Amino acid sequence: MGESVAGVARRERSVDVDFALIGHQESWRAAADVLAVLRGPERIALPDDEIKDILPWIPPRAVCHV
Amino acid sequence: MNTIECTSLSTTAPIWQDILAQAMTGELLAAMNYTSLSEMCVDPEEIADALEHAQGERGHAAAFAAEGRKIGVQVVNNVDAKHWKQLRQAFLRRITERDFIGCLIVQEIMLESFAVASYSRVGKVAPGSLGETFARIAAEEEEHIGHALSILRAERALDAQLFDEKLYRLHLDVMTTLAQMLAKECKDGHCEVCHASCVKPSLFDVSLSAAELRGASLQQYLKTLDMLGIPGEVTLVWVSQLPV
Repeated sequence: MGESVAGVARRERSVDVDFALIGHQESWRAAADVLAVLRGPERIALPDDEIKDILPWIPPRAVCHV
Repeated sequence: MNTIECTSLSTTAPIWQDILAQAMTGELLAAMNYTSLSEMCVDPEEIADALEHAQGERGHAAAFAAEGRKIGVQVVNNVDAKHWKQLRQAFLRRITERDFIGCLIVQEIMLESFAVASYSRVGKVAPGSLGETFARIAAEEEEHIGHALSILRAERALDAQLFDEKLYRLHLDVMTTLAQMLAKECKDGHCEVCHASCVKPSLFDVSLSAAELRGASLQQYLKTLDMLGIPGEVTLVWVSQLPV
């Protein structure tokens, strides 16, 4: 890992390097919390059964850029 | 067709009848939309293209009707059914605005994504020629999307922010209706297309479910938006705000 990072760091002078963290929510509760934020406070929260039906169909995508 | 398949189809025919009715209605609505588009176009090539698409969609509707006859049911369409009528009105508003790009977004990105995804799922589980017809038409509709994508990507390249704002407005208008239509249960009364009670609870009997059709449609829609180049974190917010 250290060598890989060092290798990327050496190329950084000439190439823009993007870093990505790939992950997923560790529980349905956490996933529901994220969805509630995305839906906004003015919309009612989705029921748990709907979240479990819908989320597996969402293709992988960025949720934020740091 | 063997005896087992015949027996199986006789018990599930009413379910296929409703699935075919929804599909046929969608195809006829698409034919109407393309005909309206042809009347708005000025360029002879665009007019011919729109009329060809309208003819193709009418052919799909006829193919679904023919599949119904093969299993002994009459497939009745209703383009004035509440959700379909709202979708048609959303398209006509684009026509009134002489908004060619808006028309393409509504028909090709939103309605066709729904068609491709749901027909593909039906194509995998429907028996014999019924499944083959759904799968074939799904593939043809996917070609339409591919053609529209090249036009829409070029339009987005001119002004991405303006394009994305327009798409979001149309998303709120059209995808809200589609999401209501694809809800797991029809909570707002009869859809006016199913011939008796709502077909959704019976879909399990043909290895389908309303949740699966909704999920597949949303997935296809998001993938199509990805292909247009709209950031994934933006479209994730869009779909997460839809009604269920």
